[in-house]
Amino acid sequence: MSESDPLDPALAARRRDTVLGAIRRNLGRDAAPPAPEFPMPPAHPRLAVPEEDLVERWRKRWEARGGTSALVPTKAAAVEHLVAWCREHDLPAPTHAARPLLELPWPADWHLDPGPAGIDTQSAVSLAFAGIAEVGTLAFLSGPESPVTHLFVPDNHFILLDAATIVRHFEDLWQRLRHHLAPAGGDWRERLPRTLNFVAGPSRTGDVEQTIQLGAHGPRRVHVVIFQENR
Amino acid sequence: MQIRTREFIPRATFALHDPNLQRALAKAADGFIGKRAKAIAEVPEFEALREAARVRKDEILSELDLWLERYEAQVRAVGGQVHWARDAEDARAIIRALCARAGAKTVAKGKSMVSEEIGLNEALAADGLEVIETDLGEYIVQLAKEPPSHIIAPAVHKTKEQVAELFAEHHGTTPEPTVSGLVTEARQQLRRAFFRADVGITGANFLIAETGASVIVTNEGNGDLTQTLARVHIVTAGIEKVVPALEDATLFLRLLARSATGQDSETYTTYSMGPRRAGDPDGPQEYHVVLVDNGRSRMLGGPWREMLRCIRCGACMNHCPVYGAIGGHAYGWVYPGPMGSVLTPLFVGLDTAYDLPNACTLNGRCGEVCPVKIPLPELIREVRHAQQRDGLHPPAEQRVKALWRRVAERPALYHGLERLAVRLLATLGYKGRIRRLPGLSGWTDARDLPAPTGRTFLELWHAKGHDE
Ligand code: SF4
Repeated sequence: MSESDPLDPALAARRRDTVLGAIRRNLGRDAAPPAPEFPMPPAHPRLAVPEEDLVERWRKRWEARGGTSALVPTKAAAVEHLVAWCREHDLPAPTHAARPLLELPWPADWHLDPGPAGIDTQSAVSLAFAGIAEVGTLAFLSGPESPVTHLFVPDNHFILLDAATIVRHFEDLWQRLRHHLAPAGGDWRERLPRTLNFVAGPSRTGDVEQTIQLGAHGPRRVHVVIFQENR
Repeated sequence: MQIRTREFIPRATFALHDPNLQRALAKAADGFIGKRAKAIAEVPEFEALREAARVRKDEILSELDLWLERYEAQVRAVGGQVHWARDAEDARAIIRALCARAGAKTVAKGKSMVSEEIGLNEALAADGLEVIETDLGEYIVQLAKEPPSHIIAPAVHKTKEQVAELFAEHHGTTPEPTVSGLVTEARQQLRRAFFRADVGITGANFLIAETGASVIVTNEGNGDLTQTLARVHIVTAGIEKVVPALEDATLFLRLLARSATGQDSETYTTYSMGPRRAGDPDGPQEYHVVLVDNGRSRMLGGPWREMLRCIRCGACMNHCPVYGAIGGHAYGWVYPGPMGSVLTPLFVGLDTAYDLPNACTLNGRCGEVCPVKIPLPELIREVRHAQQRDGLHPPAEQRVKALWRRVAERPALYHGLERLAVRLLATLGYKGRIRRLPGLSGWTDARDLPAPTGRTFLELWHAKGHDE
């Protein structure tokens, strides 16, 4: 590669040295300090979440932003509920679903594809990794079993959430994530998914005359079915 | 983005006479201020969060080199690449080369202030690329060929009729001029752009050293479609965006949404850590981060370091009476309002952006609301000092100040003149108000001045029997 190639490695190294050198000079030191190990997760102030019932708290916050939710006893009941919900609201049956959900007792005429959503995908079903009661949001980890396009492309998004996975604070989620990625110890950072997505309701915009409108680019309707069988 | 900071006064004057803009600004100020106040009232811990954020960010900045190196190593570990850009030119060259290497024709963009700072759109368009802003507000101002007027609400100055006209002109459709009709129209148009794009460019609200993540926050979901559907995801970020751990991102995010839009959380918060993994059904094949210095490292060394705590929430401008009167365009570059009055002169030059800090009334509201406790009024004053040191203040102003100083250094003269002035002003008053002052109509056209009683404060003080 020639020197004038902006991606030339030698040039890239020089740029890096210049920037880091400028930072060090302005911080008043000559070389990098010895790299310490990561400190234990820093403990910052949290917001009080006094509610005993995290499911209630989660739903209240979630619904305040325009999402809808239902509470059912089992995963099988969640399927029944979704079928009824689609019929009641005249919504198209989902065409895409996360792979772990395919084994559920869906109606025979629902053909669920675990692949990525395409430009015409109207409706998909996902499984949340966790709920966070603090603000009423959901966490998703991307992976072979959970396409990210399902979260953003369809008009209608249905989500199954296990009540037992609702945590109080984000800090609790981070602990859970570290453990989930390396259950037997070892470096959890070697197992990171491509994305960690938080979804807190329907897509919205206030960009035209500061009037809130749902369904800007992502789903217009997001319905969460919380099942409690593991509680 | 073209620098038009020298046109501050004509642009401000123009803005003051634009009725649509004035209506939008009034509505925006009420909306943003009210929503933020409500969100914060629900959180008794808000002050503790602000203080923790200030302390934490200062800690990070004092070891910025270290955290950037750790961040870079972790991005590599998850399969991404980090590119260092010394200035805007470097950043543009790197991104243009990445697009060329990918054989890109279409580039979708999520909201990124750094990309405006480095003038990216113009550079990519000059290479013949189709560049599409996907944040609805950014998209509208892109069609209108205007810069954003607010960092959170870029098209705040446009009415729905104006938006409908723009869409009709560019899409060849006749969308219903209602908010929902226009949003639906944009959704359909932009959806095709997301699926067509070869490269997706987003900004980053934070970079996390521990995980190598870039974090973006949106309400529309455009940043996610941008990065998920393109083959190549490029992140542009200032070097000050790095934080050590996931818990740190949480600290700043708790402040960001509440300060920016008055929500406890924006709709989507996304942590992106490298390209598509083996077996992943979707996501980009390449992941690049362009770390932009462009003057930031220099800010670390001086009184400006505190400005690098800024998380771009927009609260300072929402609470600024000057911004509330003239909007964002008057500021003439990427960063408007109080944060811009500090940042813009540092980026483009103390003289080029001369008027920005000098339009400030030093009322102090910006500093009171800033979630990371940046002492904006002090920094604005500091910029003025720097301008004074460089001899940039107009000669007339310098002469007046020199005169005032000579008087103020002589108490007898000062008090004598003061006694004279209050007596003179008292005669100009009518029912306790002064309606007009010769030579100062700029002030008195818009407001009355309370007339003094005819005695100075010291005279009244002594009359009450107090000692000298
Ligand atoms: S200076 Fe403070 S208030 Fe203004 S945008 Fe930055 S963080 Fe927000």
